[in-house]
Amino acid sequence: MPKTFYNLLVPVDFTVKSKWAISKAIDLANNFNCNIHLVHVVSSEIFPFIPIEASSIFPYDIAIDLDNARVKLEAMRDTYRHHICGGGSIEISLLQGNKSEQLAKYIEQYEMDLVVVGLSRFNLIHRVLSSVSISKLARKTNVPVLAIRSSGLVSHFKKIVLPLTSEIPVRRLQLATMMARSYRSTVYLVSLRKDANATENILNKALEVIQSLSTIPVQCFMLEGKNLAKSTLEFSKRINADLIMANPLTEFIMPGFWNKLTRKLLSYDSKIPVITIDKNVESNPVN
Amino acid sequence: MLTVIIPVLNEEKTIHNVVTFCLKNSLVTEVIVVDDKSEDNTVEIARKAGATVIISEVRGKGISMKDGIKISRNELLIFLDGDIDPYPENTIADLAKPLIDDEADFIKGTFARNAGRVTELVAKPLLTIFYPGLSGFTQPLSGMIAGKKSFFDMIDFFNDYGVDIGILIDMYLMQARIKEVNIGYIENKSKPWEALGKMSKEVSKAIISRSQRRQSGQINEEEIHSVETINREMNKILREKLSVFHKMVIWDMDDTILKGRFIDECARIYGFTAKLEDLRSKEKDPIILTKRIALLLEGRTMDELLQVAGQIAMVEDIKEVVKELKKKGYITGIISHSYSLITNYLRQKIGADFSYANQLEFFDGIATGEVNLPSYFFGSPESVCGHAYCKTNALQYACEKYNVPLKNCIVAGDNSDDRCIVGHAGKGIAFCSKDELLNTIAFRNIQESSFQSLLSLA
Repeated sequence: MPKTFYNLLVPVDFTVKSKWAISKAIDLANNFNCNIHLVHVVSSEIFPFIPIEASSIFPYDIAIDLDNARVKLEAMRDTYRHHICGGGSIEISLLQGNKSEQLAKYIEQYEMDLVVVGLSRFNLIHRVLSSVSISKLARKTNVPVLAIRSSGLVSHFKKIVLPLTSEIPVRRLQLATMMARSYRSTVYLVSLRKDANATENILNKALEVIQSLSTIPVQCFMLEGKNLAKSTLEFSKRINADLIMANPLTEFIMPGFWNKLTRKLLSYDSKIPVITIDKNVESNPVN
Repeated sequence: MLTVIIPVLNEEKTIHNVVTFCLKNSLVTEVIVVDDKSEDNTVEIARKAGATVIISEVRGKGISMKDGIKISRNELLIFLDGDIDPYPENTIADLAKPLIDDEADFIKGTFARNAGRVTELVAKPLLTIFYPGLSGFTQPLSGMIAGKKSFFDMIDFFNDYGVDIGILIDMYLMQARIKEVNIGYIENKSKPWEALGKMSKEVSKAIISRSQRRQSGQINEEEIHSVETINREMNKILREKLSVFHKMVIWDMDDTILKGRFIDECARIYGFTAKLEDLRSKEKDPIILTKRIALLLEGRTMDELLQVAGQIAMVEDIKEVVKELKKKGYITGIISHSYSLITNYLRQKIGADFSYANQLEFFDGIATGEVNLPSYFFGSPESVCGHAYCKTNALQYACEKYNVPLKNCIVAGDNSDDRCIVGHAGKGIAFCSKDELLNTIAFRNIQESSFQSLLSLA
């Protein structure tokens, strides 16, 4: 299999969501022979980025938190180590500070290729208040974020749906191509039928990009409806898709005032796993 | 009594002293310098020094040696290299003595030296397997030889690095009396490491093909197994050594390093532009197209093709950028669907580490019109792109060879043929490209004809 993912990051909070994310990450690691990094961030603004070994020298209350987390992380590593059957390994790291900042730093420093996060069923608080919301993480790190629910734990991605807006999302297409080649999947390019000519044009262009990069099967569809996120979800359910690839643009926010207010991205409403890639890294700069 | 034959190519610095050294010896009645179309003053200097100079029609040491033998007037011949200065005082006498005394028919000169990697790693192990009788020779690849014209007339010469070992094997098979003579210490230039691969290949080919001819096409299982073991072990060591590289920069050749396309320039000079355009418009299969385009070059010599390549300007700062990238620890290469003759020439010119391209076939230095498509261009179930014939497959091959992850590769290309490789590289660059889709796919577009901005990505 092509080794295009080298390092996967799973932010761990020791809840059931982390378990889903780790299970999915193990599937991916076994498929791509890559490493998994289980990272827990103890939220405290007082101390900077410290290594796990140094936790014992900190004041009592922080040290307890760090100690507990360290024990739990080590136990996790020991449990999941045996699930890795490719060439990869499981690394654990304990960080301190602002969650999203620390994760972003870690992602950059250790060159993560994908972040896998678990989503709970009711995620309003998570998406409104959480500092590691998917859109923030994707924007801050330029790394794709895969959101998983318990229902999304299929071990393959045979049908990948890629919704298109008016721009060619090169990075998403590249990632879809790589994953589709690896899982022998079909990519479904979908776009809203707002202006039939423009839609056809964007679908054709995206198709041409994929065909330039690979020989994977691709199907193009024009979707009815006014909201891309909603139409994509409906389409994905209809075809039993295994993965959706979106970006954190407003086009991918579910319809309705409340959803807009709380920035309810497609990933939060989907039982199907969704990979979110930041729009800023989708286009290329001209020198 | 003795003829000294000296095959040369661009050796103006040393040839005068070598010819003078030969003529000083009273045994030598004739010195023939066979020039392989030097671009410097080798010919004039050799003539002035008193040698008979002939220009070889076709490039290659083997053919030059044959040309020299053809016009020589003496039965006893000595071959010396034109780039060694000084030779030990008694070189000629030592080489000639066993011939004059009729103790031998062929002499191999050996010398204490400061190089010999292919001898130790390739030639000697292979000789031990295929010709145990020759395994005792300390320098089987030495080009300093002497022998009787009547014996040389009976054998065919390889026209590459395999020439010296080929002669030794043929003499051995003809049961000529062979003697090894030590002539002292010679300061011999080590070959650059890029040349060692070619030399190893040609020396191996000479040894194995002679063995196959002797055993009517058969090589026994044990011999294959031994060669495979040596090869595997060497490979392992090399991979360990190469694993220090973690980053790579690849360029396409046409319209990227070169400010033009090699085949278009050939078409313009040799007048087949219309045919070429016709082929391009009608033939959509890239493999058949490559083969049919190669046919248009049938009959052209290596020199002619290299001259055409030499006429195409390069991007001015390419050498400087390659140097900078190497300083930063990058391995650098060319991947092109043009021909290895040209990409290798260019690779040497810019100082890159390797080049992958199709191999135009030559017989006696003349293009046969055939082209070999190397296996690294072809897809496998492991290919990242799945295309049957694609530069990305070659990139993947290079990545595996040098232990570089795809995401650490920078690739610069210019046209639709490069979309895949540029799209799969960690940082793909559309270089002065008019292909809209390539510009869309690429991580960065460079519009001006300079690679300076590539350094900011490295």
